[in-house]
Amino acid sequence: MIDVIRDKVKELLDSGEIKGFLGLVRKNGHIAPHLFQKGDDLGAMSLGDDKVAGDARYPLNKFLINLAKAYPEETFAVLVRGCDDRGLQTLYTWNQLNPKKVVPVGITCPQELADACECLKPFPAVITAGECAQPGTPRSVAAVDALVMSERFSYWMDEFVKCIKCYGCSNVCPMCFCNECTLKCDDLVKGGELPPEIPVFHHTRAMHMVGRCIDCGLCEEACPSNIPLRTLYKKVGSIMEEQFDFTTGAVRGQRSPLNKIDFAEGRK
Amino acid sequence: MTNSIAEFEGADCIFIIGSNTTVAHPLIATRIYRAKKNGAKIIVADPRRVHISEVADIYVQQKMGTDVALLNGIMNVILEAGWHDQAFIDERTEDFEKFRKVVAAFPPEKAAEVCGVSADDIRAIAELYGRADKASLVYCMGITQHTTGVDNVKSLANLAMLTGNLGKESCGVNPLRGQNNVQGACDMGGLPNVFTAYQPVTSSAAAEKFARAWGVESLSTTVGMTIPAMLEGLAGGSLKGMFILGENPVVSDPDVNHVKKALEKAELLVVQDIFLTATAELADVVLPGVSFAEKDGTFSNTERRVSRVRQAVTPAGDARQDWWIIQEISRRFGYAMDYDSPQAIFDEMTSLTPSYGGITYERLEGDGLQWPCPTSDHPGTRFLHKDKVARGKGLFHAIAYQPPAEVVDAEYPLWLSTGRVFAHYHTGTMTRNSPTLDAEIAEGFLELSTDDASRLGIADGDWVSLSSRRGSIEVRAMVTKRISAGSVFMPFHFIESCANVVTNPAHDPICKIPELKVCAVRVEKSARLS
Amino acid sequence: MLKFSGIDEARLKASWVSSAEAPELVHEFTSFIKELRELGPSPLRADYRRELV
Repeated sequence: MIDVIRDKVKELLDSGEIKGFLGLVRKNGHIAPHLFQKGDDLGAMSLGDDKVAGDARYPLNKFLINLAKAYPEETFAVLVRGCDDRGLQTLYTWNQLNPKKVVPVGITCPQELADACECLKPFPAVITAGECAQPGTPRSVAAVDALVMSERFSYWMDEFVKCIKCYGCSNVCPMCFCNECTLKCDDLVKGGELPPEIPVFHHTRAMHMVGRCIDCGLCEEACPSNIPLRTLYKKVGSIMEEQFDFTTGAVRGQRSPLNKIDFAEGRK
Repeated sequence: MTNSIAEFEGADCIFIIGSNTTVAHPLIATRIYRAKKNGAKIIVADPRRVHISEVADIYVQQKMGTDVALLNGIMNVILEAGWHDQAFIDERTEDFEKFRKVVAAFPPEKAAEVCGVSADDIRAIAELYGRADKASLVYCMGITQHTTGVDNVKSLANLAMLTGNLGKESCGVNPLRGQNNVQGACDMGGLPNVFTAYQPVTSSAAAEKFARAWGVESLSTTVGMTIPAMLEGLAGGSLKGMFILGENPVVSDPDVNHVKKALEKAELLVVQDIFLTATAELADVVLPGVSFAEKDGTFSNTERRVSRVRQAVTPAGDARQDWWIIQEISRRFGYAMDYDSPQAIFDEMTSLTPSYGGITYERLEGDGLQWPCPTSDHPGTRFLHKDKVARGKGLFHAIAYQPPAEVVDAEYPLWLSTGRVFAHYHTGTMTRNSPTLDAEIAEGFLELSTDDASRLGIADGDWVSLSSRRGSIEVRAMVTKRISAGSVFMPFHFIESCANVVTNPAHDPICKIPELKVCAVRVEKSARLS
Repeated sequence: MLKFSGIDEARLKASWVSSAEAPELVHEFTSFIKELRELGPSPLRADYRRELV
């Protein structure tokens, strides 16, 4: 798979279509984000699989936003999996990236990763390399739904109480791009407390994931307290699906139903 | 640490004492959370109800400075119940009898009177820890920063040896080192009595070896001075100058009024740091060093893991590499050090340091190596004392409880302990310069129990004055159930309300660590308006 | 999300009341307070470990 990606990147760079390719590199025994430019050696390129599939992923789209801000005239290619692709589509609708300046280089996720992520679409819209895996089976949300109310309460409270307020969940989140963050607003979430106010801190973040969370799971990977954040945000996603028939980033150009004003309907 | 960070996940029981783990060592806390998920029992003993106690199966609140009493009480129960590991004791340790006698005379009821933890709780801890297959001890400065710091640590070593929880996976005695590279600083001989990797300066063989390597005729075999002795020397005039690198004793050392006076007496004070700290403000010369992101080299962390650090950005302004500054000073003093890189220094160090002998930059790629790593084909060491205790036989110490250097009285009726908050690091040199972290907690506070607060007529947020025999400061009160009546707590990060004005410089007779974790104070409502 | 976290949904109420409808606002408040009283103390109210800072 990686040879196909290398060839594609080389072609894009040589043709001058892109200024750089934002991907991953294996360097000094670690996998890290890297911007490949014309003439660079592509030999050490990585797709983010270290010991097991997809265990060295990064929020590349988040870095791409910064890159695009610094070089607004340039076009960049970026390595995307299914979740990253949903992220790109969503970031376009939020005007964080310009689709004319972004070239996605898509890879599929293997079945084991799709299963581990319970991913409903483990491949991007345009696939450069790889075979499509079957969607994963949703389990984690159902497991919590199966609990009675009091069990659910202690389950989440016992998880939230472990929070050390490192902001790792929002720092790693490719969809967290606000200049001002509610979580850092003292009137809404009181500063300086550990654990941060329960459950306000996590519920607030969950609410802000409405129409934004693309279920990449980086938050849960980054959480030093092992809080099952992905399950929390998966629930947000499933409510959006049930109530509004909306899956974040699934359809190009489709904006979150909570984030648009339909004037035509308003005049009725 | 005798064992490795990842090994916590496999422990059956983790006993945390004197460590505010989630606040000070969050990534160790991650492993403890995972251990809990894997079914481990967690015991937390701390005079404050610290955050990690949320996941504890047993939490106890011992009185400040009574750790030896608590531990002896626990060991008494273990011995009585026969949960000790006689085979381990017989084969791998010595001086058990002397120890046994002291502990046998310290039943849990007696311990309870001293440490304030009920005899039942002591029994419960003894059972959980004593009967676990793999039990791990975690401690931090709540254990060490006492006049009985060495006694406290030896007591923990006694507990691990008594139950055979040493030299095995997921067990051991695990002090959490506070800074990313403080283990490295000690390993590199940043102590007055040793060369690298604890080779004593008093050993003529070691001194000769280093003299040969450095091309000098001889090196001193006299032990150097500790920080308290240096400060005394400055105050008394026997010491004329001081060169401080990356420390801020004007905020971090006990009895800072005394520290300031001593530093002001220096004929020459040089401070090397990355920001103009309160200590640097007193200096005659300030040398700009570099931050972690601006330098190349290695860090050695709490689990003895040596990792590479690589320069990511060019040094700001006139900053220079720390090793280069030291080399230049040495050269201008007449001894021409001639290294061209941190790697050259590292290579020389490993050639003189048996436990680092097999480590090279090439081998450090990826996850690094844990010392001891004596040869180039040695894989590094995950846990120490395997099959055989490093010194030959593990030495039991008979340790009797001794009270702190300063105890409460009518004039100073409250116990004070100091520590950290999650948003800040040490004297705040770095973290208080970070807008995000400063916004979390921007000023100091004094934790006061609800009982003491109502007795003293103090409400949450009121300004109070906190006094000890050393000095007095003003700070806002935080009324909380986190701490028990009769005790108060304060973070020491904030120079505006500097906790170390009041702390006690009395120190451990052996290792000279100051008693930052307990002293006697008085709290009064301040005239300052809230 | 409240339900998912084991918190009774009845503890949260959202109503749309215009600034011209003062009696309606009063009614919303009084009736909701009554409902909450009937529900009893919130499990979160027991200082869910918050007192510990």
